[in-house]
Amino acid sequence: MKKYIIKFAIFAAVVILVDFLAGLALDAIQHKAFEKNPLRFEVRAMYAIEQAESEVDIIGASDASHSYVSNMIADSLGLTTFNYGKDGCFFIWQNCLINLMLERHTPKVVLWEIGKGALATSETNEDREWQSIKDFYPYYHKSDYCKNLIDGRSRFQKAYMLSGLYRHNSDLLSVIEPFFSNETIDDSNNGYLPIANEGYLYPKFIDKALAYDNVNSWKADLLKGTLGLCRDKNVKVVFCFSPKYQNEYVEQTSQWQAMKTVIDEYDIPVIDYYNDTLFISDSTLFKDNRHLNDRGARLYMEHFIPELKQMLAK
Amino acid sequence: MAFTSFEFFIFLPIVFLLYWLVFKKDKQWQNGLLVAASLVFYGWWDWRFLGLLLVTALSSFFGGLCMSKSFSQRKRWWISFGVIVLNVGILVYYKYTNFFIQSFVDAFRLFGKELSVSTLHIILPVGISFYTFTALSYSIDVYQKKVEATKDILAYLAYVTFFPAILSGPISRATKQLPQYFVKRGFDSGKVTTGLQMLLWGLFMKLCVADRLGIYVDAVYANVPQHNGTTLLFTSVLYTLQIYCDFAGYSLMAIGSGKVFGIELQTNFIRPYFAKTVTDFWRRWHISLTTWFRDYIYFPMGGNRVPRPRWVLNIMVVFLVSGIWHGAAYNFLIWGGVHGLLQVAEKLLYGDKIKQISDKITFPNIIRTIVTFFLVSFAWIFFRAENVDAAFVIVGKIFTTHGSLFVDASTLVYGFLCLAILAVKDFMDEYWNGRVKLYGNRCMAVRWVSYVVTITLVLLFGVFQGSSFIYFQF
Repeated sequence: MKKYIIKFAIFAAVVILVDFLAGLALDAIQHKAFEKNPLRFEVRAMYAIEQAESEVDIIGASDASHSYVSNMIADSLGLTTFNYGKDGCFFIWQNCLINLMLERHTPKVVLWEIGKGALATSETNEDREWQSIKDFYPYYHKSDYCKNLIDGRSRFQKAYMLSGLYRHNSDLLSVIEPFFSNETIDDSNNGYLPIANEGYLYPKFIDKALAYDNVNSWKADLLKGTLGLCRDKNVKVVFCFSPKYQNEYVEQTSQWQAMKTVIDEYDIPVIDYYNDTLFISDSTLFKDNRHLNDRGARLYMEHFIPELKQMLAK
Repeated sequence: MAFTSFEFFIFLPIVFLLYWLVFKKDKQWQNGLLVAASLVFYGWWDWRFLGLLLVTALSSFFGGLCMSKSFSQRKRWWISFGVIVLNVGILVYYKYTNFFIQSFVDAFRLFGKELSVSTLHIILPVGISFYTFTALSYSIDVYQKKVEATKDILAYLAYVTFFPAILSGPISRATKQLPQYFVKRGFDSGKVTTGLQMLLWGLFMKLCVADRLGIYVDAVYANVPQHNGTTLLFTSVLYTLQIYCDFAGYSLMAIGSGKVFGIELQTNFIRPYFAKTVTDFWRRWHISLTTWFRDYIYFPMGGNRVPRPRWVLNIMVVFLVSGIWHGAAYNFLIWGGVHGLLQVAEKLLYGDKIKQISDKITFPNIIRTIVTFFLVSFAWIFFRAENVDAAFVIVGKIFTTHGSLFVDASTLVYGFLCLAILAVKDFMDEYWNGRVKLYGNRCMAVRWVSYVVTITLVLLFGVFQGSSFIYFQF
């Protein structure tokens, strides 16, 4: 029995060593891969944190990346604009991104497609929400904010983060892909990802209430902290709600009421086209119930930008 | 705590060291520790249901003692009947009350009558279906005199509450698992190593394959109206693989955890998707449950030693009961019914020739395996869907609405990479048993490299803090 325990201990030491060395190697490869191609969609967070210099930052999930035409905003406002929206990255990711970006770079304006249900806990999205935080694992040891946020994922998250291999969990593809591809990304759209206007069935309008109605007070505190930081750094935050081809009755939920309270408390300007009649009368503006296609996005910008200009002028 | 949680990886070594270093004196000490650890493990989920667990365990224990003291067959029958009614009654209350209430309301609605009856707020105790069947197995076997009633309460409690198996099986059988608790277990490094290997491989199956594929499956099933038939068909196939890796991975971890304490639990899966017929599938899938139903429902009803119409009834009853065991909803009933009908159809198609189908790789067998896989996948649609209506929507779309596949590149690449590794291993086990050994290799370097590679794969591709095991909901 004792011999067995000693053998097991030696094996554990070997695993720890392999993990540590592999972690160091992957850290180095990841950074080399990022430098080779920083505009890749997979490293959007890294690009935002390490290289962003835009004056207008667009933050959000897929409804941000496909709805806000950066060049139209830049041309109209005369301010450099980049769309940092990333598919499948919800409130916690967006919140962490803003805080980490602000550690190095101070934009003039943050256009935040935050989502009206952002302050709720959704069973279907909760896992995905936390999975997306892996984008920030490289900054775990570099930023106290990042460390505290990631540790909040679970009681034992600190222990998981000791592992060099775990820090690159679900990342290997994006780390090694640039070395096998000579593709250079010329992001002339400045982060905006247009969706084709045809080649699919246009959606049918969905009229169905959200399945959840609750307020996650931790998320509400996170939001307040971020808005406070933006206020201290003189960054103008605008909450934006792009058109959706569905009605989830989210305005009747407690999570929306909680968000309205924060909006009032921090005096956040809001541009709301969530169920705007111009858009919900035309399904051909949408790829699916949640995302505008390029024609829809440009039409949205034609209405959004004048409102934004007015707001910024105040 | 789940087997994939950090808490379990602290809990298991502590219990292991206590078991082999401190409580090694005799079987009573070992059993006592196992019972204490098991109650802590179960109570970690919800301490409120510890009492219920003990009611089930103790009722069948004392029922067994009463039966052993009674010479009257009639009295023995009544005692066993009482124990069965009590425990099945508890199971039915917690699992099926709301189902019956809702069915009652739906039935009246068919006649245009709206009843204002609301369902009750009943929390389903985790593992109740499994430990109840474990306890019932003992009661029935004592009544049938297949096992002697034991007076060793610690051994019996260790048998029923054994933490590796209590939440989702394998369902223990008194004839096979109980005798192990009557003797002192000696430390066997080979068994412990095998147990740890099973734990590791089960972890790989659960975190790297099941939970990885689950990301895609859950995303599609959460938005069925937005997906076309091509995506839904693909997702159904992925769910077929997900549920296998989830449940088989869990079972492997349970069996492995049992082994490290010197307890042999029943094999629960034998590569079910290599089955050549649905009948064969059920010899390889959730073996502990299917043998339980076979021994305690199918055989007492006459099994296949009855006229054909009666045999058809027996098969349908067993599979409908199996379906409803899995969940208190009509879609599970349909799932069970589909499997029953498939077995009946196979009997009509093959007759007794079904036993002559070889295990070799032949063209007919490849076709049979593929057809069986898709039939089973079709049935799983009813298992996974939220309800019957959703299942039929999915089936309808698969046959009518086609389009481009929804792609989540990284999820699918990682998932298929790990699935390929699993497929190669299962293929080698199925057809080349014993020829290629990695974990079981004689060379220590090969074994250690295999373990390190598996751990690396788990850390790089595993979905941590993901969903709980699918079968926990049963």
